[in-house]
Amino acid sequence: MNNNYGVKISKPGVDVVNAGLKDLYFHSNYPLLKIYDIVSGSTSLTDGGAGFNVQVTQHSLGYEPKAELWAAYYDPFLNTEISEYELMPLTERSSGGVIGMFYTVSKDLSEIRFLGETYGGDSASHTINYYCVVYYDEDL
Amino acid sequence: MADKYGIKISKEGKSVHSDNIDDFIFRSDIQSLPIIQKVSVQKTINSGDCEGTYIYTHNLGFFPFTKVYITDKSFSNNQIVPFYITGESKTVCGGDVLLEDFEYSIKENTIEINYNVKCVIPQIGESCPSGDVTYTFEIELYMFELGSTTQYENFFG
Repeated sequence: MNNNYGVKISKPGVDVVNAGLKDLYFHSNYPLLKIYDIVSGSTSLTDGGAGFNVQVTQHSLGYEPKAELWAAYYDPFLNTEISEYELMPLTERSSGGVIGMFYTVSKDLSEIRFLGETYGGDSASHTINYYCVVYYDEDL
Repeated sequence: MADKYGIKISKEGKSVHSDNIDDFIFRSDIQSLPIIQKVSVQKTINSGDCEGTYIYTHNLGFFPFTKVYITDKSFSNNQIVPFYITGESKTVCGGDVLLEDFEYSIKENTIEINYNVKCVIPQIGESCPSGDVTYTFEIELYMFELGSTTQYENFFG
């Protein structure tokens, strides 16, 4: 990282020659976060049932990628379908084990999967919507 | 900024003259997220150290936008932190359920990862695992100061 050439872009009003890292919009010595894939989907969940285990996306990156999955999920503690998207995994179990929810994300060299199971709620069927962002993961 | 200059790279099939910011891969008038530090560290948690803080020193002198991922060997790699999971029986808990709770805070010169790894024993409560549990944290720091102004200002007119 000792190149004496490249591109630096400073924030408005900041002298790019003297700007520190926090005052830059871009510096070509440092790689940008790169998005490999953005996917959305939905699945169904029956509270108290077997749960779901769905493929979110496939990839050919050659490593287990970094990914963030947000879901609008069913919460058996509140007996509500949460309308906002929250970052997964999300697990919780009541102290007596009567109510529980287990939303997790699994990844391997070829795919990303979203798994979920709840119990102790309303025993009804619910739709779970989700978004997933998959990143390239390069070494610096 | 009366001068209209800069760099714009549009997405494939989109015009570089588009007024829609979503049509661009890169614009020099918008904050990008270059990665300025990326480290992988291992932390072994044992029966005498199952609740505490791991401190990574970055020495940047500002609060950097940061992502932290965790790999615990028994689950998929690179799970995003905050990470809270319970429900899996583990041998280090004598077959009882292991609770894993990780979150982090961003400071001017450090990233502090708080961990709480406990066995949940029915009718009794919580205790530290009987054996070691090793985690790998991957910490990514970005060229963006939390709290700084990044309001979009169109340089191109």
